[in-house]
Amino acid sequence: MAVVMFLGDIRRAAGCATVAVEADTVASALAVLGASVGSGFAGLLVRDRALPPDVEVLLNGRNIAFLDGLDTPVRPADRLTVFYSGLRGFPGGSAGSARGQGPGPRDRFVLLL
Amino acid sequence: MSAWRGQILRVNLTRGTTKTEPLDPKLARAYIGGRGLGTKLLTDEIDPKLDPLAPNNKLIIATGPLTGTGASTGGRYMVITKSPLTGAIACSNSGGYFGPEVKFCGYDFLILEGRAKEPVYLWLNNDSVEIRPAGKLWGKTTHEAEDQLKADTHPEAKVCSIGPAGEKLAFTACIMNDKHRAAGRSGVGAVMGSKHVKAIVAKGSQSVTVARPRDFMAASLAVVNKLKASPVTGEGLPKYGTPILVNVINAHGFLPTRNFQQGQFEGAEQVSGETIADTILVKNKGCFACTIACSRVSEVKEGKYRGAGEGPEYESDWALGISTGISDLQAITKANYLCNELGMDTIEAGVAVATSMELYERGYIPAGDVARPLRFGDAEALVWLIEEMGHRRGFGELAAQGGYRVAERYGHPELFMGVKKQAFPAYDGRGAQGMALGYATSNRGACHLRGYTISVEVFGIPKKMDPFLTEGKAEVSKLFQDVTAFVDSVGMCLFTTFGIGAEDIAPLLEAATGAGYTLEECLKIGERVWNLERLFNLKAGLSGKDDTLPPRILHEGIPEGPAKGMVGKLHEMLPEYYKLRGWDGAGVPTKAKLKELALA
Repeated sequence: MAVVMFLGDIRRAAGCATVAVEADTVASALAVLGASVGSGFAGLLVRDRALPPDVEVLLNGRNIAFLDGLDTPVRPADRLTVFYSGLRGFPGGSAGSARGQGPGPRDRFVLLL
Repeated sequence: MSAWRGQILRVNLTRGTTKTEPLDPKLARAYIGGRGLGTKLLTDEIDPKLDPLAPNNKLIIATGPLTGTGASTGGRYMVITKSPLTGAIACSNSGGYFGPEVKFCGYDFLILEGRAKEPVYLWLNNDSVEIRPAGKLWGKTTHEAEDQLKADTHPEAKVCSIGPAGEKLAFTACIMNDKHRAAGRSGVGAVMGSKHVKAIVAKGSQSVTVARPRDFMAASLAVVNKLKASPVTGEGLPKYGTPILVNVINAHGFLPTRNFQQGQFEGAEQVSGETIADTILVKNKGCFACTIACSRVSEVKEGKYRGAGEGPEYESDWALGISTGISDLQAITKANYLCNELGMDTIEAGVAVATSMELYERGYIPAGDVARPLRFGDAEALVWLIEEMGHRRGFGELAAQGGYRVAERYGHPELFMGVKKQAFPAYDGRGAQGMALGYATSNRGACHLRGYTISVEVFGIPKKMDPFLTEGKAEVSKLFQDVTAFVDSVGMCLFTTFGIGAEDIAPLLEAATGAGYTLEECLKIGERVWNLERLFNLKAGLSGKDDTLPPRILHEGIPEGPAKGMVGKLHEMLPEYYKLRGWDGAGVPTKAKLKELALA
């Protein structure tokens, strides 16, 4: 079974750090979480069959955005990591600037100490 | 002048004299303040080739026009000097309450020159300035000194000071203020120590006026509202602080472990932000006028590392823990407290320990040279060596000079992980190519605060960029470097940029100063400052050859994990970066670029 690790506020929402899931793709893995953690929790991670703009998912350390997105295949030994990219409890960005919704890089940037 | 106080306090320590000088409004307009104007003053006044610890080096305490105005996070000050650690320009930034107090005394800048015959401290009591003996304070920790100085001057005075490390000219020495805030990097504490200045104490009651109060209030309120509304500055940073990054960077596989020998740490969870929040965190805390309050007030309640203080932040957590292979959070916290009290940069000190551990394990440091074994994962060795370094005792005398000097002494400078003799922070550039470029080109040596491309490479803000790829990283690095130089010049905290952008800061600066700043001009000033720093370094003897990375980063792939096999592909980015900067192939600004920036 693949292991899903939650970070930051998502961990708090899940009530646990890791969960084991059996799934073929990232999408099905996140859907399975609804059964093991709660349907409300699963709703935090997938909306309208897409990741909310503030949720990042890594498969074995690679952001699924650079793989096949939610269709990325998942194998039993894989490790998924799920965290907020800056919204609701994670330092890294602001809502207005995420995913090109706000000003471009000329006038919007993010730094971290 | 509005927002600026219009005065420089010049202190000649050799002669024991002080005098005030007017601030040139044209220079202030062109360089703003803080890092920008401080760099201009330094580069105009010192020979870049001088010995950083000689009396003719100068130490500039620089506030920005927004420092002390009440603008959110407007509490920053910079320390600008020639670095003994790198031989390059140094600019270290700190928060707390000391910077605004300098403004309340009537000064934008303090310029310390010469060298006092005996230890002294400066007492700024509004318009009154005294150079007072500090012999009884020499040897005291920063906390002891601050308590004593408040008792001797005013209980509400604000203090910046050096610890024993700075007194003993350690290149890892920082300047501490408000006990827990640090102007940390580049060895600025050693320069203060070389001048025999233990501390600067300030108590002022003069307010900082702004040009258009109504507009300033409106712009300030807009900034505060955005910061509060931002889940990062309104919720994330106050709740978790920066250590939440530990698990994220570890998951990506570029969390530098055991002196960059690995990219993932098996003990990450034990030192993560989540664990800190559940164990040693007491509460969060803010600096002057801060509406974010990200500081970590912490306490180890029992055991041999029992104590209370602030930290660890992400970088300190990494340098003192992950970098040394130590997962004992209490020991890391103790080492952090010691660094603050002894006056050492946690990053430089932690990496010096990690460098020493690798050299020892490889047999390059003979067992007889150290009083105890130095092995990765040994928490007691960490705490012991940090204390030895702070007092420059035994092996700690060398280690206190930073990892480069240790590696060089034992014939293996290639095992020092840093750039321009300054240690890397907590991201392995092999896994995040933008950081690799940023480290190599940073004017003050390896630094994450000169262009934080993790923003795009991990968080996808403002757009997602694959951390493994080099395409587009030169442009992003240059942009982030220039914008950071601007923000460092106004007197606000970089953390504001989680919730606001330069487009929010520019009108705030304009309303405060009434000097006619536009956003485009603010970004141009950032670029001007970056190039001015570069010119100083070139005159100091650095060159494009110093824009490089250690052999391990360039040629040794990360051995395992998500970034397995990755190396720093600097050669793919540096030529484009130089071109975007308007520099020639050797990394020298062209005449056309200098003319464009009014630096010719």
